Amino acid sequence: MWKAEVVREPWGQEEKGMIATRVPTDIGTPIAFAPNNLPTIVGLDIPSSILQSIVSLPSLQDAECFSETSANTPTTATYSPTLSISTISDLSPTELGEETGHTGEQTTTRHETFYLEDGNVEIVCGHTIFRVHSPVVSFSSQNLRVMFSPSKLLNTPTLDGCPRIVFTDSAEDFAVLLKMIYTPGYVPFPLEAGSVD
Amino acid sequence: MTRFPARHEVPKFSVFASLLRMTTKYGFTNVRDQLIKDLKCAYPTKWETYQAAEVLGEDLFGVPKPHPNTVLNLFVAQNVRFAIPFAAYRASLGGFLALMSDKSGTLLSRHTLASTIYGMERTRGLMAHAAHTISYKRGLPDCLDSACVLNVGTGPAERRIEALTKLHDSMIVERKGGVLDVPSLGDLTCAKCAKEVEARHSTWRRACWDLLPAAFSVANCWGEV
Repeated sequence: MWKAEVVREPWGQEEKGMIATRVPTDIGTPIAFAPNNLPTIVGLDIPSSILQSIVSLPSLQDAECFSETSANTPTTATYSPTLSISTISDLSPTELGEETGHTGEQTTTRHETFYLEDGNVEIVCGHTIFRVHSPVVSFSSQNLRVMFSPSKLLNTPTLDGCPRIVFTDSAEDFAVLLKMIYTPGYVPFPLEAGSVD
Repeated sequence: MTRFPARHEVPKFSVFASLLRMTTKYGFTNVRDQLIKDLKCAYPTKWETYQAAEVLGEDLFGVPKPHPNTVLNLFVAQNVRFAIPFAAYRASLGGFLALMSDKSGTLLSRHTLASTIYGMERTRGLMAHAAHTISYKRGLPDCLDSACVLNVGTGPAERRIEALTKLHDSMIVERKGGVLDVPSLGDLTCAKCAKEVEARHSTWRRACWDLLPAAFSVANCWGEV
């Protein structure tokens, strides 16, 4: 019986590591660090007890979300999203997501917009199937380019000649990603003309 | 679906969150950088930017507006470190009840909750100290305006203390966590004295702003922007 394998990706951990190596810079002019390592604010009479309580805090960078990621990250993990793919012989039609009225637990439906008939790869997110063009989707993403490389797709189970890959992302998130990819000018926000640091 | 949606439409938080998650995960660096850049307007890292900003915090997003806790959760999960202090500050504006919300998506992790409550208490404590210092320690000049609370004439010391206490309370009472807001002195003082008090308070607010990352446990994160 085929079972989905969920592996957590260590993206946050990698970013955390990168950020942690950076040299901190001063964040404000009124603050200077005294020999006792407490910040002092020029011109203001702030009790050292208040400053001590502010600077001697547990750090958010050690928050649970990071430590959990670290603890659950497989030592052999790579930085490409892990796919859960089994051989085609292990999959029943229902598990493969037949859209022909099966009522099994794994029944999947085609995405209303992003099931493109001329696509060359199918992506399953939860109970939703997307059919997209791998060169288009992977154009700006090194990670997706690796996943959609011909060598990888060759080893991927196919349905009607179309490779099918299972993602662990939610269908809503993936639909937004596809909308961004397929829609020019979708991303920029309205505040880009506002004041920015 | 519209193929070419109108630019400058107000983004929904759910869309922003999805984009941030997916672009981070799949390495769409350029798009992620654009999202982060747009975020800097509403989650500033500089005092001047904060003062000049027209839209702050979760008000950046369209309807339905996200709960501040939800935004904070996203930034912590996606490691948007520079925005965490201000997001935590915005979450703290709602006080303990809002921070303890357990509705879908608003539940803060134990560590995030502890850090945010700690930051809220520290910033409130600092600005309470500021109100005390401004009102009692750094003697405000007597005012000649009869309508001003600082005009005590030749009356007894008790009257002076009572006037200063009113001024002190106007900077503290019912402020919740909005320690970075300009205090509302109402009609307590004349325009000249209000300007003097505001100038002194502004210095403290600036100091409080600079301590924001340390108070909310993400020290030095503003240097990484």
